Amino acid sequence: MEKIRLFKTIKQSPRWEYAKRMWYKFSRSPLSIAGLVISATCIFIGLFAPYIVPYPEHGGLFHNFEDRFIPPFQNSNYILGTDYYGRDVLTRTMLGFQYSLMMAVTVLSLVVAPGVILGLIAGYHKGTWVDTVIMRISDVFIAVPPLVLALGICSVLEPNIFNAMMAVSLMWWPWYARLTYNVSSAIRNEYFVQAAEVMGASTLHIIFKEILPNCLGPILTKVTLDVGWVILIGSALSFVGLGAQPPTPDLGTMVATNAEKYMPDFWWTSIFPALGIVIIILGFNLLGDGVRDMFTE
Amino acid sequence: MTDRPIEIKDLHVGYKTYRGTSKVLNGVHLTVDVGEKIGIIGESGCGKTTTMKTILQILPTNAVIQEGEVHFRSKDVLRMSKNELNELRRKHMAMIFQDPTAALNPVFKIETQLIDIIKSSEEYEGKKKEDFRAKCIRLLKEVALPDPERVLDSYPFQLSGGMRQRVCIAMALATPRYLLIADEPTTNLDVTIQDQVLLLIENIVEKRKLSVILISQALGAVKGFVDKVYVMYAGSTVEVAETKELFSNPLHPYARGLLESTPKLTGGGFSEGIKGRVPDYIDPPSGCRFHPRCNQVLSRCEKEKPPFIDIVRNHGVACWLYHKK
Amino acid sequence: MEETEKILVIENLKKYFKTTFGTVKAVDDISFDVRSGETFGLVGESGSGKSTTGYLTMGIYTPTAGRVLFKGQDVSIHAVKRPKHIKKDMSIVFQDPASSLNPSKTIRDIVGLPLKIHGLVTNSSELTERVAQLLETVELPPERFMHRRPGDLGGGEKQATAIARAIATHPSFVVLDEPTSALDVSIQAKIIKILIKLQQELKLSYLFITHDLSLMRNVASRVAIMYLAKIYEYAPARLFFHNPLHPYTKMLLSSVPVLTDEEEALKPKEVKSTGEVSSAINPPPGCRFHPRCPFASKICKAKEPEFVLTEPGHYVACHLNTKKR
Repeated sequence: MEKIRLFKTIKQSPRWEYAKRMWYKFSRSPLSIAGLVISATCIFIGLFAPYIVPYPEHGGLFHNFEDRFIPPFQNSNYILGTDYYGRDVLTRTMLGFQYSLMMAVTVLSLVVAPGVILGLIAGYHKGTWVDTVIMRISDVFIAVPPLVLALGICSVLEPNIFNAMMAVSLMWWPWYARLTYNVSSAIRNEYFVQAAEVMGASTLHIIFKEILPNCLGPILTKVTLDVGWVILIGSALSFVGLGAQPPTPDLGTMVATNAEKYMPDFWWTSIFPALGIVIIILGFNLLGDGVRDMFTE
Repeated sequence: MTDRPIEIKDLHVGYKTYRGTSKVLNGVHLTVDVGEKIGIIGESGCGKTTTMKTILQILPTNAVIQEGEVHFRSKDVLRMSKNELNELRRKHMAMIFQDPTAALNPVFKIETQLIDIIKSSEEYEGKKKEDFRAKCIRLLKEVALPDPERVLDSYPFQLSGGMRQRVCIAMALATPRYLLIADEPTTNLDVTIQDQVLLLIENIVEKRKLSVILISQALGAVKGFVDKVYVMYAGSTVEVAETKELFSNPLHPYARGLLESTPKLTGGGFSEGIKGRVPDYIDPPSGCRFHPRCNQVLSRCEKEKPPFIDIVRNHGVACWLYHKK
Repeated sequence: MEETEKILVIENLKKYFKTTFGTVKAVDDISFDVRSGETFGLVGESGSGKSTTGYLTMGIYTPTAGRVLFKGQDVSIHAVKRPKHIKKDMSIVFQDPASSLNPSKTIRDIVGLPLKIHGLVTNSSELTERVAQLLETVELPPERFMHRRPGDLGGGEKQATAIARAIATHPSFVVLDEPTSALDVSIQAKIIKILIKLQQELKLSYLFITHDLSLMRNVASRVAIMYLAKIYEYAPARLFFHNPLHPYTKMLLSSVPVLTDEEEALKPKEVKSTGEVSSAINPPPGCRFHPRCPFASKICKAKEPEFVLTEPGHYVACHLNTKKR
């Protein structure tokens, strides 16, 4: 009995060692650290925007025409200036982070699980009809350019943020299926999978306990990188008027509506939301590169 | 001034890792005379390849040369300029790698890859394309490749492992050299092919009077090929002797362990092998790095690193067992 | 020889793989048997089909034709379809220790997996206890290895873990597919010692697959040699090494690098290694070895040689021996 306790006490140390090694690989590049800081800040703003913005009520149908079109860096009440309705650009941009991140989280949580599971099943059954059926279906979705499919769906259905997210999800899962398929079909040929097979392990065990943990690295990397991409697509949909509708403080919508009407005289009304998009995407892309470094070698 | 192709004195090389510096090489001594064939034996991870990479200055970026000297014909390799190093790699030394598949570029024909190398030699400056092809064919004939014309027009994947290794040897010998480094040249090949490839290298080397460093785990192959054997353990040279002497009278407990663990064709079972494994280089054992695995360990071994001493002529060992008080 | 003594019988086994270049005959009509408690050795170069034979035995591949009988029961089906008690009774140790252990799991989970699958333990602490025992039998201190991951282990330690996993369910038959070819000789000796000890303690029968003849001499009681998907000679180990009859056996033996004069004396002198293994897609007609055989005559190209018994237990398929009789 004493022996067993001994094993338990040392259990933590290799895991700690593992984490340390991961952090070392991640932190070797200063850009990854920058990415981590930027994306953490974005997430913080996204989570707490309603509580930390100067004028929470500016997120909706608010107007104060006395303070309209104040240029940035001139009035200490409105650092990034105000728009046509006199709403604080800083407030709306920060609230926009919330919408963008919500979109990314929703889409990715809808997309990752089915994509990965289908990819695993296809990868495990590589070369059989199961593989053919799953991968050909995913090919059909991949064949349609993502933005075009989303445009199609949003123009048929009512254009709102929910439909936009559904549309983006529909064309996103095949990429996860395909990534997981590639990784898992390679791992499937490793001896440890064959060992589990001849031992009598069940297919479920092999797929989820033996193969899946070894696919997590690439999947996690893709998830991080995709946060930026989903936001970009969502913003693009909003930009063409098929995503979130005004007065929702969505970054894409703000860039679109304000750019159309008030550029270049009141440039700050669309440039700052655009900068917000750039920052989020940059942050998550740098973070994604760091995560990739973490799992390579 | 000497013409020795390689002289390494007390080389210490480390790698920077996330846990600290991994002190891999810990005092390597190595001398190769003109026309001499030497062999380096030792377990994988004992620093053989790191030593060779230091000679050619192709160490990865996280490597640090902490101490020591590497001389090529009396010139300090560690202080060479980029141009001098390129010259060294291109004209004076050649290396044959363990994996011939990885050493050849899969997207170019053998001819293209061979010509690229020949072009660098002065002898062929300003010559015509036909001359190059003729030279290629001569080279491939020299490495006993049947049908050299067809081989020249092939891509690497169209050749078998043995043929690829022959091409690699031809590439290594395309231009006149002083030193050939063969890093486990036959490990990936079948037994019958190994024998042929080793014989081939031996013939060419004899003919051209090259110096050779052969790194191999197959002690039998080393024995049949080289004049002098260096035994390396955990980044240090632990024993040096002429081949015959070393195999008949190994002194260092590590060398003895290695010889005993090699299975014999005559049968007779197995020795115990050597307990444990090559140490962690971040926190290597103190004193003699072999002491945790040694079956004849003395109290002194833990504290002090044994100096390298000559026991008899041309037979040196770094072990406290042979140190007279 | 009584039927009950044969734990594994291979009858006219064939395995063909369809590729884009044609059908590869990986194993082409081979028969042999493994007796209870013995080590049956299968030697051959890469591509000879020796590993495929091992995989067919384990049900990793389904045979194209022929039968695999395990303890009298026909198991020529894929492992997934085999009854559970068969899977419990036979196991395999793979060549590459790096790939045979799941890098994302701890040693406890890896070694404990077969115990869990076959319901040999009921709770977590029992599992830990059993795994600790198993690790001790393969000479890995459990307190140090239990919760480590394969990435932290050396090659020998990984292979010892793979062995612990293979014997976890108390099988009676284990396929050893080049269990030490990726290891240093010093480590190899230790692993082989463990395997021999386990064989005696647990009354295991081994199918030992390797290309290393020196190793084979020291472990196998009977040896079969494969060349291009066919067995050409099989004999008790002593006869196989002291009186090799097939020219290929002789060539292989003469290519083995050796250390001592006694071993040198054992190597057949009349066959020098020439040529390379022919393509498995279009194997030469007749005896597949004839393009490399110094004694090849007309009949070798035309007719496949039959097995003849030359002395007790010693079978060879070569026209040279057929003619003599």
